[in-house]
Amino acid sequence: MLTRRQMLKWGAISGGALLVPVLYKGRKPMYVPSALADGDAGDFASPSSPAFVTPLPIPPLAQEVSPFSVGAGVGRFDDLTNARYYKLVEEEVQLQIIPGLPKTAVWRYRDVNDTMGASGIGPTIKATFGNLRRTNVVRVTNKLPASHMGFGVPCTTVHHHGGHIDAFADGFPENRFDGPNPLPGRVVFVPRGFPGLPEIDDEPPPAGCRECDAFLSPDRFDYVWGNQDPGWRDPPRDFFDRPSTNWYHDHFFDFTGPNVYRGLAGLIVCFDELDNGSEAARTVITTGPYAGREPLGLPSGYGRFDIPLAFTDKLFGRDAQLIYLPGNHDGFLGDRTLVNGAIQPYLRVKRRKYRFRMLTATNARFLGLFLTDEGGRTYPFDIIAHAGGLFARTLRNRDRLVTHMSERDEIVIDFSRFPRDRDTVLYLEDRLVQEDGRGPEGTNDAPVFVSRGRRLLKFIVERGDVADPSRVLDVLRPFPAITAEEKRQATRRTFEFNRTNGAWAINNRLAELDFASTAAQPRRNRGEIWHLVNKSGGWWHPIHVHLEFMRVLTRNGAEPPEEERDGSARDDTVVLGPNDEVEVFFKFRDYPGPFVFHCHNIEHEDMRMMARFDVG
Amino acid sequence: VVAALLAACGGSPEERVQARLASAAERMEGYFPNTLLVTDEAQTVRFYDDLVKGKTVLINFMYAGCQGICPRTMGTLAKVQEALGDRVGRDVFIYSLTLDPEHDTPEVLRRHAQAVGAGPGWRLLTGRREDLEVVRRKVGLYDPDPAVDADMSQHGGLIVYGNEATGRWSAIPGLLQPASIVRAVRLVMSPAPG
Repeated sequence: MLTRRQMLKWGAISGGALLVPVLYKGRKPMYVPSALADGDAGDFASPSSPAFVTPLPIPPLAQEVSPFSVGAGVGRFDDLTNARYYKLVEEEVQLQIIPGLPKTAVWRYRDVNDTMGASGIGPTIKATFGNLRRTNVVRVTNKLPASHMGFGVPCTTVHHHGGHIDAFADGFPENRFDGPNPLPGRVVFVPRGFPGLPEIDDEPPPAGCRECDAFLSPDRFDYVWGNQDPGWRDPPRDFFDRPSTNWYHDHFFDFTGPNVYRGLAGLIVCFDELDNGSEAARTVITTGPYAGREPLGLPSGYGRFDIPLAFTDKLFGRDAQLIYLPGNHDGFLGDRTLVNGAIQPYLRVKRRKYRFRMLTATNARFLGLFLTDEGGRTYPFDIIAHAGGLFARTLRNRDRLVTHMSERDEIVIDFSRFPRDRDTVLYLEDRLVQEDGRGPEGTNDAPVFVSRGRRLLKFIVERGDVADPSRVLDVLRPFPAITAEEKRQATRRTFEFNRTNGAWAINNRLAELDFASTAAQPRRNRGEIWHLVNKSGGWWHPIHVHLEFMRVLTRNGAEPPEEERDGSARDDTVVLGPNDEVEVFFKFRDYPGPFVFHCHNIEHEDMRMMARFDVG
Repeated sequence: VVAALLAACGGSPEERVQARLASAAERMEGYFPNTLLVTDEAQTVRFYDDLVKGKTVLINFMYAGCQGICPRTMGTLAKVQEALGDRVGRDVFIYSLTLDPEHDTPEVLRRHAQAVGAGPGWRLLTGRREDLEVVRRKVGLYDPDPAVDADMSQHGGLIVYGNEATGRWSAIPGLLQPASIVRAVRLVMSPAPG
């Protein structure tokens, strides 16, 4: 039941066109970006911004650069032959986000080839798997201002979220390069079981910056993402565990929340011989595990009919600068959910099918997305993928998509059903009710929606006919469910996610800065069943496990819904709603640790709801 | 403020940094109250002007009679104080505010400060309950569930730390190892003065 104040608040932010003045009651009538905690959440509201006047920005595809030699030990497992090389910088830039107000200072990843510099979300990196596999080598240089003021720290480490990659390239929260005289408690990236491979060392960080053990400006690091199918070391390879859309973001210990909120996030779009990025292709695949099948023919053309939609949640001050509350450990909510870095943009579309790759890159906001018209009527769409890649089968004619932080969801909307003789206006609308960082109203099974929500993106469906060679098959990327025998043989562990004196813990333990101890040491190629338990009352925790996709076996003792059920879906993050218990299956392969698992409410993660595991 | 904002949009990098520095301080001034508190040395101090402005601070809430997590957190802060050496009292300060002002008089806190080994840069503070509550909410050390928040035995064990001059703030569980806390605090400390 919503209180009147909550209803008013919801109403005030739901209309889009409604103008919300800055409220900062009883204190200085100025913006307070250095505020620590909200105390009274009604104190803050972003300035008004005109709705649907900005075209949807499309983050540019990163452009390949000439090969360069990578640092010692980097790429120790991966074949660099024919690799794609990219160079990104992390920098602070001023972007015009709210028309008529000053530009907003944001952090972002920028492709060195991109001199336009207009994107509020990092460049999109293309990754190819299977018959098309090539390694990606990404050199990231930190050019964030060392004298940075305000929330966030200019120390970074880049996590490839959804990647099956070497620990050294995974963005471990303390990816430290201490040089010859390591600080006590250093995490040493010596792979167990790999004698002869070099221990990782790098140049010492600049004097006076020993505490910043991730790479510091002007430091750089070369990330090698092999894009190999799990099981490559000890076949058979689980070729079906290929991702579809991944993302990369900062993962620096204690400061991931503010650093990602400032803008350090970008997309990775993935292709293979089955999902090959060519909607017209019908030539039967002749080699590899998909021999005999035609390519899927999903709507294609990055930025044309294959559109990325990255959602980020922001709160602006009156001068358009970002407000973050580092004293809010419940989970930070903005009051503007941006799409590809723009507030309420629009997209003109043709009357045909479009693939939308959605990334929920919010810190703590869940989304309940509907396709609606001016009158609030909803229209169905097909859901084809989420974090674990394409589903086994298309989920047809769904009218909503409920999603959470870090999730990728892909839908296909067929706009050809709308009138050919006139333009049609539609919206992507968030109808989920969420008042604070604890999570949305309701339960995972029965979230609470409002009838009119927040319109995030406007579609203008242009009249007339266009050709559409694309299709959405019933069968996408099928795979066998975990067998009863595999479950029987699996090692079982229980992890309880709980709250302890205002901090967040896993099995009552907080992540120590040195990560000296591990919460689990799974054996390579051995099945694991993790029983994930959330007894922390009204709190929600989306739990992300690095390195491998998981299979969701049971939810609260029952069969999970198709969106997450083993046999239908694979996943890298599973939601624990209030008092949920979920069983998930893993088989960790190929890469030794250390890796981490953690809550992807980033404020919870920063408040230590994170643990290390090593694969041995 | 307007001048600072204008400067932030143009000028040399140095001017921009200085403008942001100036506005950062002003912002915090608007956010943190100048609530009057009383130290364990019976001095009356203003929260923002005297305790926080221009300093790197660690702030926690506790009470002298606490048998729960406070003894461990205070023991950890003692080790943090030791590890940060002579910075504590120069540009780094530790403030432990009471949740139980009716019992924790300056005299009680003085004895408690001695018991936990608080040096010159670590003050224990009391005051009027409503003033302490304002500060507690301002630094984010409260639970969104009013029942949990009202239960002193479940009080937040977090240490809020930040550098007021640079606007870099965070918090860390007081139940962590002292070394973890020292490393985190060093991330927000300014280079050693002098």
